[in-house]
Amino acid sequence: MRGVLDIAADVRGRRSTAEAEVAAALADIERRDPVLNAFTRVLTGQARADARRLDASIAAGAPVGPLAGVPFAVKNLYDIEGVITLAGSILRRDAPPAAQDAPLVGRLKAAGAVLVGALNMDEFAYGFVTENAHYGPTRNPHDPARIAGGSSGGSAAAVAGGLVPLSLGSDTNGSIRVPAGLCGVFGLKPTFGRLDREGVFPFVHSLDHAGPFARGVGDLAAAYDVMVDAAEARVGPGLEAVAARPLRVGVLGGWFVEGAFPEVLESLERVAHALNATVGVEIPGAEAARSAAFCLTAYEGARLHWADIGARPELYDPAVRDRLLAGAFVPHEVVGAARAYRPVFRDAARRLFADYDVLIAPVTPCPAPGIGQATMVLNGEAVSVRRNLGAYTQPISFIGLPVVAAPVARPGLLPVGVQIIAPAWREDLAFAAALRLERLGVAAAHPPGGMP
Amino acid sequence: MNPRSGVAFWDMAEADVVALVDAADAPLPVASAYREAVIENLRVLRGHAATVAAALPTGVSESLPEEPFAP
Repeated sequence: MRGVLDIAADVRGRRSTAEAEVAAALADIERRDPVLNAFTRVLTGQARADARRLDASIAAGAPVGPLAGVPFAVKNLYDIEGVITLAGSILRRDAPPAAQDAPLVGRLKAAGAVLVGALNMDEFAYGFVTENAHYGPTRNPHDPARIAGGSSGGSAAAVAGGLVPLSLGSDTNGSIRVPAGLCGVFGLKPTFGRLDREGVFPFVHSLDHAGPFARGVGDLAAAYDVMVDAAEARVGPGLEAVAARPLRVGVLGGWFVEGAFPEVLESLERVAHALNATVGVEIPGAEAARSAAFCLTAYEGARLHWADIGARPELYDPAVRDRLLAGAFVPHEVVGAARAYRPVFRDAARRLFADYDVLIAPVTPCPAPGIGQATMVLNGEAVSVRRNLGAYTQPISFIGLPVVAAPVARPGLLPVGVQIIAPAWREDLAFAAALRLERLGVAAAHPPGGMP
Repeated sequence: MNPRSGVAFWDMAEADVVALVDAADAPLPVASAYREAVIENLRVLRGHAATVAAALPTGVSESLPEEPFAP
C-alpha cells in the first residue's frame, strides 16, 4: 500500500502516471469493495479522464500540484459536481446533482489529486457504526465481521483497506476519530471552523467539522495543508522543527478512561510512555460536556430534518429516525443550558493547556464491536454500542479542539486509536506528537491481513 | 419547561415523558410502530439534560445568544 506522498513523488518525478495510479486504485476497489462495502459510487470514467488530463498537463510541462496523481474518495455528504449528494439517505435519491464540487474537494483536485468515488456513512451522519439501513454496513478491513465505526465508516475503511490512500470525512461528535481508531488509520478533526464546510451536507451546525484520513502522518499533513485557507496554518513546513522540540504531554484520566477495555488502557500507556507524559490529568466536567453535545445534536438535528421527519418518517433509517423524533421533543431550555455550558468547559480545557502542549486520550472504550452488536459491557454494565462509542470523543468536539486520531501499533490485532488533542488552532502540535509516535514505531497504520 | 406541566424537562416524571410523546399537540407525530423507541431515546436525552443542568455553574445564563462559538 503506497501512501499519498510516495504516489505524488512518483507522478511528479515521472516514475509513474496519474492514469496508472488511478487504474491501480480502481482495481483495488473492484477487488476489495465487495467485502468492505465502503463505496456507494465509483466514478470510473470521470477518474480515468481526470487522470489522463493531469498526465497530459505534466507532459506539457505545466506546474504540478503537491498531490499529483493521488487517488482519493469522499464521504457521500460532500458535493461532487454532477453527482447526487446522498448523505447516506434514500430521501435524497431524487435530489438534483450537485452543481459544483465542495470547496475541499476542489482544493484536493487543484493540488492534483484524482477523485475516484463517494463513500458510505451513517444516514445523515447520525451514528458511530456505519450500519446503514439503506446501503448496508461498511465492514472493518481488519475483521469484516466487525463494524468500521462511523459515521465516516466508508472513509476510514477505504483507506485502511488500501482502496485509496486518502479520503475525506466529517466529525460532529467523533465521526472521523471513531472510525479512524477502529480501522487503524490516522484521522484529523481540525479546530472548529478551520476547514471549509461549504458543500458538505450539514448535520449539527454548531458542531460539524470536515477533515481527512490517511495511513501516515506526513500524508495526513499534506492533505490538510492543501485544504487549509491560511498559509500560516499549514503544518508541513514547520512540522520537523515542532516535532524536534520537547512536548509537554498530559494523559487524560477520569471520564476519558472510564470503562475502557484492558487493551485500550495498555495502548494508552504505551503512547504515554513514548511521549514521557504525565498521567492522570483531568478536564473537570467532561461527562457534562458529552451530555451537552448529546442534547445539542438531537435538538439541532431534529430542527434540520423537521419537515421531512414529520412528513416521511418511514424513509429514514430507523436508528436515525427514532433519535431525530426524540430530539424534536427537547425543549429550548435544554439547548440553552448546553450552549451555556460550552464556554465553561472550553475555559476548563484552556486552563489545562497552560501546563500541557497536547493531551492524549483513547478514541473509543473498546476495539471494533461486531456488526449487528447492540450492546457492549462497560464497567460491568451492558450499554448501547451506538450511544457509547463516542463517549471519549464527544467532549472534545463539543469545544472544537483539534485532534489527530493515531492508530497504536498492534500488528495482527484489532486496531486501537488514541486522540492527540491540541489547543485551538494548534494543529501543528497534534501533528508533531503523532509524527513522533510514528517515528518511534508506537503509532502505525498496519495493512490488514486477509484482504483480497 | 414542559408547557403543559410547567416542570423542567429533566425533572419530568416518567409518565409525563410518555404523555409528551402521545399528546395530540406533540411537536411531531410519532407512529405507534416506533413510539417505544422514541420514548427510550427521550429518556436518554432527559438524563443528559439533567447532567448538564447539574453541572452548569450558578449564575451562568441559559439563554446565551446563538453567536459563533470561539473554540
